[in-house]
Amino acid sequence: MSDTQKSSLLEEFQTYLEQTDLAHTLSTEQPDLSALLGEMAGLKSEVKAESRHFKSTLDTLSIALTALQTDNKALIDELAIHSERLQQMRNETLRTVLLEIVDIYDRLSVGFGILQNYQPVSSLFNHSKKQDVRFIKSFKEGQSMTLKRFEQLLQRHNVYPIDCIGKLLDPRTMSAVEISHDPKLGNGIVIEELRKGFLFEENVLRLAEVKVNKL
Amino acid sequence: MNEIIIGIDLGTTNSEVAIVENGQVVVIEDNNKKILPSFVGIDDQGDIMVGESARNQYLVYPERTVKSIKRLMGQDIQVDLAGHAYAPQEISAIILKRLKAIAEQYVDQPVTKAVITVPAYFSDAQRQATREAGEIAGLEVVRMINEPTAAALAYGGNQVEQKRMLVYDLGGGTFDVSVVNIEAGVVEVLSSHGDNHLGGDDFDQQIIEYILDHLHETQGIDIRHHSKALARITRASENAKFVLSDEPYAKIEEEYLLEHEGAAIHLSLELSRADYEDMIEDYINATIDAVHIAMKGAKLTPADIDEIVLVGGSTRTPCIRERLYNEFSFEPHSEVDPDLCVAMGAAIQAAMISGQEVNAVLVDVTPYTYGTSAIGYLNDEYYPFTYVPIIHKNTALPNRKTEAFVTNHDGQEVVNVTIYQGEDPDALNNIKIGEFLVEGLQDVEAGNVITLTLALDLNGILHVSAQEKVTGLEKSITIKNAISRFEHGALDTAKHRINKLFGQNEAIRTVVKNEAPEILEARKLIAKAEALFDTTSNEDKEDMIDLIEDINSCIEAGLDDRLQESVARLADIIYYLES
Repeated sequence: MSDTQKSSLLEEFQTYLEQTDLAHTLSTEQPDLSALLGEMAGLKSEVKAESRHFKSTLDTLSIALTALQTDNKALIDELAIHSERLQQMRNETLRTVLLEIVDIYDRLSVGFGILQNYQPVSSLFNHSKKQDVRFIKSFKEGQSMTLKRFEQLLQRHNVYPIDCIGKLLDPRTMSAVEISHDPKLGNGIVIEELRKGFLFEENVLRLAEVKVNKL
Repeated sequence: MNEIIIGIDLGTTNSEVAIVENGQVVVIEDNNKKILPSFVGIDDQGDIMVGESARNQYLVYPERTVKSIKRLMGQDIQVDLAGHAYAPQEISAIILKRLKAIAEQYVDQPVTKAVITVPAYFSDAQRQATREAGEIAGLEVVRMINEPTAAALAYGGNQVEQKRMLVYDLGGGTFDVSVVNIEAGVVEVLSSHGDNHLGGDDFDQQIIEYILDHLHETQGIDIRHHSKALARITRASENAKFVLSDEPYAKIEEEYLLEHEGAAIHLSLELSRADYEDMIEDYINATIDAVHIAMKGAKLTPADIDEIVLVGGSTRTPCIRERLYNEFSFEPHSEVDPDLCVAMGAAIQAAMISGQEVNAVLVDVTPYTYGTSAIGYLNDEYYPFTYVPIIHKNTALPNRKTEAFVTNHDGQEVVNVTIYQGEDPDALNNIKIGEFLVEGLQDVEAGNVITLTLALDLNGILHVSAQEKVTGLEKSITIKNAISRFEHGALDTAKHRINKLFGQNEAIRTVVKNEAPEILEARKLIAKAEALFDTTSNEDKEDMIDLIEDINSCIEAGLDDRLQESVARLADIIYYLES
């Protein structure tokens, strides 16, 4: 540090000493302890009050947190219920639509069955026209393709027909609506399917209505 | 937590179980089905089956299936089930045990107490047998209540005020009618009558016979021996019955019904509600006779009955409602699902015993009747504005009903459809809520059928459509807020009637030609203001109505200065509303 700097600093310090009243630092008078104690007590109670305040705030926050957690849990439960309900509704709607599709499929299959039984007239003097036979043949092919399309659609949605004929009546998937008597077959064997049944995701979409052998 | 007591409707054909949960009645589902057929069976493996699966095997294995055990309750006999003899209460116990299990799965805790319903005509022995069935099933029967009592409870029978109800219960195979008295929450059966072999199945059979006759007449075929075709006709008949509950015609169509002499036979016919009602008239007459017998038994006249409650799925047939209306002159209640209301009533009784709060069974219903006007007879006199109700008061929502009307004169090309809200047989005394024209009808003789469909949804939106049946020509309108908005309309009607009493003529509102330009201007403004009624607050609307009335009276009295002032104020309100 240069001399100039030193003297400049000293001057500044002197000015400070001259301008500052340092009398109280030199005073030998004792502080007012009772006032100090009073102030300390005041301060203490203020701190206590504040801490009480903090505590109550913390309690309130804690209650709010608990309420929030409860609400949150209730909301999660509610959402789960709603989501389950939504899923249920979706399934119900899908089931309804699938049942309608299955009904149309039934009607088409019966029609196709009748079409397949068609035999062109072929007697000595009477023959079906070639173009008629060709028309019916191609119509049959078209119908068969449409039916396959329906079957594929049902399979895509996990809908499968219940296998009944020749099986023992399963009352969980089949409903016996008619009985027949054939001594060559066992008791309770399904001999005819009056209405096809379907399973959807392993549950019954529609019961099969069957004719059962009864001995 | 209150102890759980379940309510059980142990029926001859079907049974249900219900509980009250958070004040609401819940009919518990099993495999998405609320109804459990009252069948008990043993399967090939010797396991017990209850419900649909037991019913499915009944025809093939009657020796190991039991149905309608309720008919045998209280008798000292044994029924055979797969080689073992059982008392009727033991078979009933199997059904009760299944219902108990369904309830336990739902509430996820054991259930040991139940309220079970029994027919009002059940003897002490039959009641005792039912109680025993409960005990065998592990259920303490805390109370047994009569079925009509349960139905009354589902319709608020636990209320304090005294009333007498007629409970008309028509199921698939049984019919019961009871008169009950409700006082201080206590329901007492005054009389009961019925027929154990009358129900909706008979109605189906009538339609089946009708179709079989039709096929015989038109195709010359008797299809009674074609199992598949007969099964389809049975289903189609039941479906037609359902359709006719809401519509005046049912189209019965079954393509490729069977193959006959190398050709496909299709079924296509239309059944009108009128023809269907003719078919079942004898059955309905029998039920009305039973109603009279029950009334006589209770020493009451129709005027003593405060309410009618419809129970059982077959009460959805509209003519039942009409016949009862003709007898009693008020609308029967059917808003609580008629298939489930006995179980619901049992659950309400159970909740009352366990000290649970029970809210009324909540169903959204229409508080008003909606209908149209037609030429007809009022008080046995020709009247062009006879009211024809279509959606009846207290009908559960959403609802859709169709009625058929016919044109009045030859070559009638236009019909004016007016929709009213109210119950007065004179349509003009009801509140008009909409009107439209169907134009361009076929130039044919009188009797051209026009079907009118009213569909009211949960939001109070009423969709009205009229269709010429032959051509399908259709015109429709949508009336928003049909349930509430017309309270104000009613107010206007009332105001108008009172004004009429004081000599103010309705014709005031019709435009008179050659009026002064200020008056024409004022009328235009009124029309503008009225168009804004739907979208304004009640306060603004009232202000506008007051000003309109003021303007009308100024026009009538020729007070030009006051007219201008009122017109200016009305114009201000309109400006404010439009901006």
